[in-house]
Amino acid sequence: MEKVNPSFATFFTSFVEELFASVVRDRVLTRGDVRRVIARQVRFTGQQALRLVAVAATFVGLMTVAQSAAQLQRFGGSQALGPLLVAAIFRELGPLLTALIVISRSVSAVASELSSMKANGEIEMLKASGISPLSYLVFPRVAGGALALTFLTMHFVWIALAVGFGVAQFFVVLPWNRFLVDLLNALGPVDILIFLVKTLGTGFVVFSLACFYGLRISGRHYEIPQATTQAVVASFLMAFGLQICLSVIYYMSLAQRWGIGGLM
Amino acid sequence: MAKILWQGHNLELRARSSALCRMPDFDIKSGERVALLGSNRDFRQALFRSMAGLSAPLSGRLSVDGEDLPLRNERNPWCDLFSKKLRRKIGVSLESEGLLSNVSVRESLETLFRFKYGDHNSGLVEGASRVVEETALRVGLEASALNKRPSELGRLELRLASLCLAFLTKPVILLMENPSQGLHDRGWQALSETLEQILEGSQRTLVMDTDDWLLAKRHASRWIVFEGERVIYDGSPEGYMAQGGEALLTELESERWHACRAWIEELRKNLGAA
Repeated sequence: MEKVNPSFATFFTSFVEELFASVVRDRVLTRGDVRRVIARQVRFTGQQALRLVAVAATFVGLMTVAQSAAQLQRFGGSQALGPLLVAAIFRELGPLLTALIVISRSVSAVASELSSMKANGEIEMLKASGISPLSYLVFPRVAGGALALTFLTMHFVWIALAVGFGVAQFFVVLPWNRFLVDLLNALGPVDILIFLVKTLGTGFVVFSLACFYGLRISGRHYEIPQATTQAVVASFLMAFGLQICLSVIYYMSLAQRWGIGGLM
Repeated sequence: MAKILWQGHNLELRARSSALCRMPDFDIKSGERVALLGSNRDFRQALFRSMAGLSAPLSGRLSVDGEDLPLRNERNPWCDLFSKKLRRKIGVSLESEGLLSNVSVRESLETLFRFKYGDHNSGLVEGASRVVEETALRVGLEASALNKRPSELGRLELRLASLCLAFLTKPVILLMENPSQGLHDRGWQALSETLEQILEGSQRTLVMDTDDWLLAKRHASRWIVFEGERVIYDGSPEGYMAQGGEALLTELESERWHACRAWIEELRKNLGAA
């Protein structure tokens, strides 16, 4: 895939358009080989990162409750814990921190894997054999990566909430069933929708960027680290940007609902 | 009269080195065996890659089996320039082989075969393994090599695996990029014999981009020789030699066969000593 002159935006848009077109044209989901690659990607991005995410979630759950302990005690404590954890972990920290872990671990791996394949002539061979690299290589990685990111974020959230509940026992008296009720009360359908959009959307964008940068090199080995760095940096920026945008949209709609739209 | 397979008119191509290549008008007919030769690697490679549908022309017109290749745009790098029907007619063996590096050669070939025909065609899917074995046998690739990863194969085995990939769909057009690159004499001989065997008696069209004049002499009936920014010769090998190219061929041939003879003598000596 040789370099062409159009702007990055045009080039990336045509990449995403062609990705969707090839998915439909090649009926990729009906193909066992593609499903196997998706499963492998989910295993690599999701299953193999479970422990790392668990450690990060433990730390976040612990710190969130420990830092807000004084406020919890001052304002009646236990009732505020559910909404606090939902706001901090479910809406913001969970999706963002899991995305950062996945970018550091998997996006870099995908970008370097694809750029190595490009440098070794494997992409060219696929094209010469009439196989779309987008159907065979990119789609399974993007789909698998987005799914894995969503599951990993769920994993992060439940561990952080569980640890948060455990740590809260040192500061307030809070039976687990009440905690659960508070948590469910604080959690609306919009939260779940935003959560899914954030995780699946971020997964789609960051893995598309990884594949895009990986395949964009002209085929020389020295470009592999450059492509990996570019993919990671762009993914970080896009993950932050996307999550900030979604949070702003969410809080604006919340402010309007509460009649404080003028403040936002 | 043979059908025209490739036709280039006012073609401008971009070489991998970014050099701009303006091609003279040309056509290649069905059943021809063509070698792209000469010192200008950029030109040869740019033309070969466009003929294989790997790179779109900057301007001009290149038609392949009646289909016009789209000119270069931002979509080209992501999609196939040929239709599926045309792609099945063409087998390409690239210099870099490009077999999937993280699986065995067998798995790589079977996956590519399955993907090309689709899982929905269950008969072909079940037959993938058989087709791969048969094709490997045909090109002289040993069964044990099929179970190894590309990184564990020798140069000749890699070339044969690449040839096997090109032949999986029984193409009527064969494109080969530097087929003898990096082969020692025994390897060269084996490859040449394999090529002879698979081309013998068939009406298959062959286009090879090569530095190997001896291989071109053996297997191509038409030479297109590039030098500088132009084609200096387009015709039969005999015509080229009559123009004074024979000296180069004789030299190459004697070098290769001399090396081969030396190796055989050394082997005989070793066997005698044992």
